[in-house]
Formats: sequence, C-alpha cells, structure tokens
Amino acid sequence: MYPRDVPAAPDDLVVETHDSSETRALGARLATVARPGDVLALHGDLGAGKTELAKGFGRGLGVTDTVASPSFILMAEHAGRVPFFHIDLYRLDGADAAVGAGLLDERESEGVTLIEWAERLGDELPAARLDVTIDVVDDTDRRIRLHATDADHGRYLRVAR
Amino acid sequence: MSGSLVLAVESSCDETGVALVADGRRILASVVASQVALHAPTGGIVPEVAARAHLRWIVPTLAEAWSDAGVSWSDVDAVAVTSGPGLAGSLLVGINFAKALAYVHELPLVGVNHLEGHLYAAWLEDATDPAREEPELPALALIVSGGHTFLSVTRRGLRHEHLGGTVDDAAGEAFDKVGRLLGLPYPGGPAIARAAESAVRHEVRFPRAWLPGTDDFSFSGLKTAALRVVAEARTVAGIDLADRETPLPGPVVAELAWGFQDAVVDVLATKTIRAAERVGAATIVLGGGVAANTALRARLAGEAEALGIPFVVPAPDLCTDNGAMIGAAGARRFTAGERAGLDLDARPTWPLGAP
Repeated sequence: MYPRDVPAAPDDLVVETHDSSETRALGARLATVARPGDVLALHGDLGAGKTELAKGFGRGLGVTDTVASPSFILMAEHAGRVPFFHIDLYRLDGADAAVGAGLLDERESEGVTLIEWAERLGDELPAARLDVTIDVVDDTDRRIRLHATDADHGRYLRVAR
Repeated sequence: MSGSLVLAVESSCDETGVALVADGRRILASVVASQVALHAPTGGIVPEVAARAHLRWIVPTLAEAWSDAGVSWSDVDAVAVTSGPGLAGSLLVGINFAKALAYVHELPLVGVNHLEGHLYAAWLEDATDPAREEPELPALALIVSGGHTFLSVTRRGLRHEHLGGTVDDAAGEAFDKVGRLLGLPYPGGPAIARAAESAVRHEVRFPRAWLPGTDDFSFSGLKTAALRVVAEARTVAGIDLADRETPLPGPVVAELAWGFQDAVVDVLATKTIRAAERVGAATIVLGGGVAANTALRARLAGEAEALGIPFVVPAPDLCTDNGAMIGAAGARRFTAGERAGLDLDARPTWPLGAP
C-alpha cells in the first residue's frame, strides 16, 4: 500500500490492452490499492470494455459473486475487501436522474464506487476521483487513459503499468 | 393458498405495481405505472427513474387497483411486497408503503423476492387461456429481462436453485444496446424484433458465446460484433467514414437485426432445453420482459413440444415487472407461514433461492 500523500504529478497514464482479459487484469491491478471513499469514473462508448474493467476490479477486490452490467438495474453492490458499489448511468440522461434514483448514497463512502458513463453526472461527479477513459482502437485493442484528479487517487497510477 | 387474498406491491426498478391476487392464482386487479412507457418518446432515456417516481405513482396505482378489484380491505388476508433485489431507494418506497398498509389494516406482511415473482407469474391464471393448469414441478425457468438473465429449477414449492445466469449483459440489455448501435428506436427489444421480421436473406451470423459446461450466458461480445458489422455495412453501402448522420438502409438493418436476434435466441433456447433435459423438467417456464419476443417464444415452444415437455409463458403484461407476480409468490410465502416484521428492510442484492 502507498501513503496517502502521494505526490500530485504526473497524474496521467496510458495503458494499452490487446484483449478483454488484459482489460480485466488492469482492473484487478487497480483494485489492489482501492480504499473506502475512492471513486473511479469510467468513460467510453458502447462495447469499449467498461464492464470488463469493472469485472476485473471486482475480482481484485475479492468479490466472489458475478460482476455483471448494471445498466438496467442502475447499481449493483458487492461484498469484497472493501464494499464495491458498481453504478451504471447508461439509461440516465443527467445528474438529476441519478440523484432522484438514489444512486449517490452516503453508504458509498464506506466502499469504493465505480461509475460507468460517469460523464452523465456532470457537476455531481465527485471532484476527487480516478478518470478511466477507454478508447476503441480496433476489434480487440483498447487505449485506456488514467487520470487522477487529486493526489490521493494518484496511487492508482502506480499499479496500473 | 386457497382462500387467501393478497395485496401486492412492486417497486424494485422502473415499474410501480399494485395488485390484488386471490389464491395465488387469480388476478382481481393489477395496475402498473411504467416509467418506460411514460418516457419512451424522449428517446430511450428515463429522465426520472426509481425512488422519486415511485413515490409519485404508488398511491394512484393503489387507488386504481382498488377500483378494479371489487373487494374491500376486510377481504384482504396479507400484504406482500418486493423486498429485493433492486435499488435500495426504490425498494424502500414500496416496502414502507406496504408496511403502512399492513399496520393500519392490521394485516400480516410478507417480503417477496422479485426474481421469485417472475417465476410464479407462470402460475397466475391466463385470461386468454383460462383452462391452462398450474405448471408441474420440477419446473425449469428461463427469466430474461433488461436487468436479469438466468436459469433456475424449482423442484418443490418455494425451493429454487439458481443454475446459471449472465456473466455480463442481460439479454434485454443486449437488445437495447445493439438496437442503439443499429440506429433503431428505444426500446430496442421490440424494435429489433420488428426489423428482423422484414429480413429475407437470413445470412448474417453473429457469434454465439456458449460457455460450455455451465448454465451461464454472455452477451457483451454481441456489442463488439455489432460495431464491426455496422461499420462493414456502412462501407458496403457507400457511406463515407466521416459521415455519421446517414442511416443504414432499412433492408440492411433488417438483416443485421435478424442476425443478432437469431444469435441471442439460439443461445437462450439451446441452453434452456439442455438444462431442462438434464434436470428432468416436467415444465419449462419463460418469464421476464424479453419473453415478449416472438422468435424466442416460438423457438422454445417448438423445442419443448418436440421433447414432450409443457411450455408455459405468462401473458406479456405479466412477464414485465408487475404487482400480480409478487402476489402469486407472496400468497405462497404467506400460506407457508412466512411473516415479515415492521423492521422489514430492502435487500438490494438478494439472490434467488437464498433464505
């Protein structure tokens, strides 16, 4: 584990994955440094691999049940080394809807929260977070950019490589 | 069960449902306020989902159920409510509403698993087929919706074994997302089914993820496949790469929709039939919103008939989320002596078959 006062810069990292198992493996590496209160904001088009990364993240947290897509159920909770809140805003068009649906909950401070389609939260997106942007290169390859918006979430960059 | 009258409340996801169900089988009233129906014209987005909307709709939904039912509170034996799985905030609206009703009318309260409700929808009387008998056990069930896709077997009443389920996207979710990739309107399920009907060539083949040796499903790869075939089809149609506005020609979309639907139906039906044979099912039950898909119904009905296994699928409005299915399951739980206290809490992750 890393101390909480990780230096702020450099706060960007690009990782390339060549199939979905590599994307899951990246998720699992990230999970090793997860702490309660952390927020991971996932961005990327349909089929980019956001849920694959979430599956790996769950595995890395020691979650034993299936981490599936919560697009329709909006949020799934899993028991792991720290509680895992898996949110998906695919069906929502904005922050009001997410708040109205009760997706932003006090309980989430006790666990790590991963949000798919996070940009739809707009101003409600927590300021301190790790942004994970997945770009589709081709059928199998993905370019995944990690950006920590604060020094604390910078610890994820150290394990992502 | 006989003689029981249950008032049932469902609020786990998008639908607010209230129903009055007699004997776990006969629907006296079933009213559903659907946010999907209300908001479909906005293009697939549900602007105000869950908790807040349930609060707004639950009292009018109850009032309408009462006016349909022709019974009074003194006839009611129990109040049943979905207590999981689902969104905590949404579940709590229904749970607290049901608690208040049970308290005020001095009635027992029963907490019901939403997935068990989908199962027991097949035990409800079908107005279009009043002669249909209750499904025989063991019953193999395929429940397919936007949020859930799983196979289970019920060997004795109220004892369900989860056999397998989706490891990524639910089948209904795959329909919705691939529908979007094909440029079809929301909701994607009916739109894909409609488009597929006008396909004539039937040559497009999407990949099947069989996950051999399991009763699990995987549908997320279909998005990647759809992205690829759409890109190819656009090139073939002579649409410039930079042009993202021009839609694919209708006949092309029809063939792609057919190919996608064929892959989903093929995997769902094949794995369901295999599981039914393995567990020695006396009945095959289909439920959940995707059960409205005629290609899936026809394929399963045909294969079940070939095996000589009765196939039961509830009417479409009982396949999507509703209160009556909670009444069907709740009546069985009530008759078995189950009671919830006024401390009944939401169980957002409650799996089928867990106590």
